Amino acid sequence: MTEIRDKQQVGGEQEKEQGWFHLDIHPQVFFISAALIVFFVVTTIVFQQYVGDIFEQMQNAISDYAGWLFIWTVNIVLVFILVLLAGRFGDIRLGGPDARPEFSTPGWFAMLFSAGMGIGLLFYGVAEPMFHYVANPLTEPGTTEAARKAMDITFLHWGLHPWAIYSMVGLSLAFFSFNRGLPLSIRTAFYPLFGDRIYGWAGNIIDILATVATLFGVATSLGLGVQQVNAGLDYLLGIGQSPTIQVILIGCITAVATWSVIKGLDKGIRRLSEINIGFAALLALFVMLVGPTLFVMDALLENIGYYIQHLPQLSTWNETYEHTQWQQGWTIFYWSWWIAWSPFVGMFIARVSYGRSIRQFILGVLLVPTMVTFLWLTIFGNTALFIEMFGAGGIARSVQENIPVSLFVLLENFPLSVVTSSLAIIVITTFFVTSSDSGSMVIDIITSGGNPNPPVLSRLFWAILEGVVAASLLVGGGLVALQTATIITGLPFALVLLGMCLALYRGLSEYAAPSEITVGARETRQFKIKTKPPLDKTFGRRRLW
Amino acid sequence: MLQNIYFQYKGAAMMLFKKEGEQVAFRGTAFLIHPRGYLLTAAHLIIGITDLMAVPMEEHPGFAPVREETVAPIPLEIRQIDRERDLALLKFGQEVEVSMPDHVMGIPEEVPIGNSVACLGYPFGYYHIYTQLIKQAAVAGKILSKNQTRIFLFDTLIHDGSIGAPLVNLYDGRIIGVVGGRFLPQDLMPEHLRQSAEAPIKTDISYAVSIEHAARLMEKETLALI
Repeated sequence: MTEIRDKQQVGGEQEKEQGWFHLDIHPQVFFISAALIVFFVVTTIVFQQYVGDIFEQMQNAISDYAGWLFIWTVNIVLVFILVLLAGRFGDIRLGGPDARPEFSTPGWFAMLFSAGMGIGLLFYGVAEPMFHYVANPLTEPGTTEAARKAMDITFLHWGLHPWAIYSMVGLSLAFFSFNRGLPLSIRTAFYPLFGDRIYGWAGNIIDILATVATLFGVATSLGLGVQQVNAGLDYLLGIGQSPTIQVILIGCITAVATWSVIKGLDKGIRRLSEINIGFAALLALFVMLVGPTLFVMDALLENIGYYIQHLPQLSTWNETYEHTQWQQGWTIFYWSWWIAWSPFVGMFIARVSYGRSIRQFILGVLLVPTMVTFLWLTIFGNTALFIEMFGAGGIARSVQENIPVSLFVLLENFPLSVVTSSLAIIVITTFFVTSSDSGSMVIDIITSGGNPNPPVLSRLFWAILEGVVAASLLVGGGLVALQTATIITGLPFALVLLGMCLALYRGLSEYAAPSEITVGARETRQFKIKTKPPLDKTFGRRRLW
Repeated sequence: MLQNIYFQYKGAAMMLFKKEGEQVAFRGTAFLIHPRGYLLTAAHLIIGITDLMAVPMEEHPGFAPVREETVAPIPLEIRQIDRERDLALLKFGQEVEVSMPDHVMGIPEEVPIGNSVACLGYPFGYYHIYTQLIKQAAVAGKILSKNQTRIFLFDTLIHDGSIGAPLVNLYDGRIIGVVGGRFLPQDLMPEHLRQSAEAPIKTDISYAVSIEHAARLMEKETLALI
């Protein structure tokens, strides 16, 4: 217990002092997690069809019967986070009153955004608005109203709610770890429920599950993602699509991610994230300037206004009276997906947010990324809608046929498409790298018992294992099955999120309450009081003044 | 907020007494600054005194009596004195268990003029009224005295019994100064003006010596600043 509690030093000093062969790990969590991962990969490859069916049925059942729970959860979390933003706890600093941020604000933002949802935005920034434009559950498809509602639904799925979920988990872990001295680990979130038992097997099991879920989440995304990158490269260069090319791509991404994670947060992950955001900004700027600039600028204001006006209505819509199942495939899937990813992203955000006040944290993790996301979605989504509604069209068809290719189809509508498509490939690849390295870093921290600066050897191990798992599942099959399994973890974690709200509020209330200064028992000999006149007004002032 | 400050510091602000045989005489206020039993006060209150004692506030449910005939004081030792800055660091002369939050000392540099502050002391102790009172004020100015002491001026009239009390920043609940007394403009007047002044100029401004000067005394005692 002491060992795990002692690993609270945030910053680079410890990192510098440890050599390559230093291996400070939590043995149970590290080895059992590694063994389980190997077991699941082998089982999934051997019994691919059977395992896939089971997970798919489970996910369908969850969507059918627990959709309302997800909708309640995400809304409660959002309201809770907004209350924290405006409330009296806003000035509490993560790490104590004298803590100062470890990273600059742009570096901090680049890291949390890259880990949070960067890659998804690249694929769905074009695709999702088009999907809702041609098949809208709320209005007649293909109309002006469908375009407006398509952007609104996309904003709902990528806007305040997911970032509120990440904020909730990140804030909870950061507060209990940095301000209450608990280990920086997923088990920490359960402290208000389990107390000191989190240091025993109950906590070990939680951390093992988090490690396995995070690794499979990142590895399956990597495995599925390289298929998309391959599709993009094939579309651009005609190199074909094959498992060999995809394994090579995994190897390249894993190599860069491994380098990044070994270099550490400041020299590796932060720098890569900043480069990444720089490239993405360049791409977005290009599309905005050469595309329908006025339409995009008009749409940005209208989309945000429409989103704010309809947020209470859309975010509590549950298809009750329509009695349809559209939400299961979209909104409920998204909520489940974000919640399943929240331990990983939340933990990473917590790690890089030392020294921020709660108000800064929420502004940085909830509002700024949401605004950037809206800007991105408007640039790409509305440009696609403009082409579809007023231009040559063809984007909707390409989205239906192949989601990743839709981005390149969009770029073909503008000059220098070879350059911009190449830039898009670079951005996609670097987003994969930043997801991969931050995922590895999170696993490293968990398996080293909450050490914010985990040993280099452990970083190397998990970064490589991530690539090996992705490549094995790609070649052997089972990527979708294990990704589905990861998403299923969203259901139990939705309940955990609700518990976290309660626990965090209680923890913050106790922390913010004034601590009384007291003097203990002492001798009680009584003295009679004698009255004396006050000192002369000028006594003792000569030297000072 | 004022309520929270009072709750936090009511146990820290103590009455300071001088022992005279089997009796004690009130001398002002002192306050706890470190859990190892260290207190701060104004140096001029204790100059020439060896037998010092402190009396914590008595907890009374509801309304407290204003007069006491006897007290049960804790003996004090003088550990450090800085007469230039008018500060003294005292220590309990017996083992007393003290519970304090992790951080109590503020950063005077960051306290802006106009900031709300409060002080807790025993303003009427010299008049046999031993009631702890909290008073709210605003920082009216931040000045350097002739000997380069950093001083907070705040807009309330401090009574003699509150000298040596803590000045607390209401924004973050940290101590930023040690109350020294009422501000007298003649202290800063040129000599020729001071001599020609017929009577002391009355103000409702008081002053407190910045806590960073006390930090130096604590460092001499190898105390970690909290």
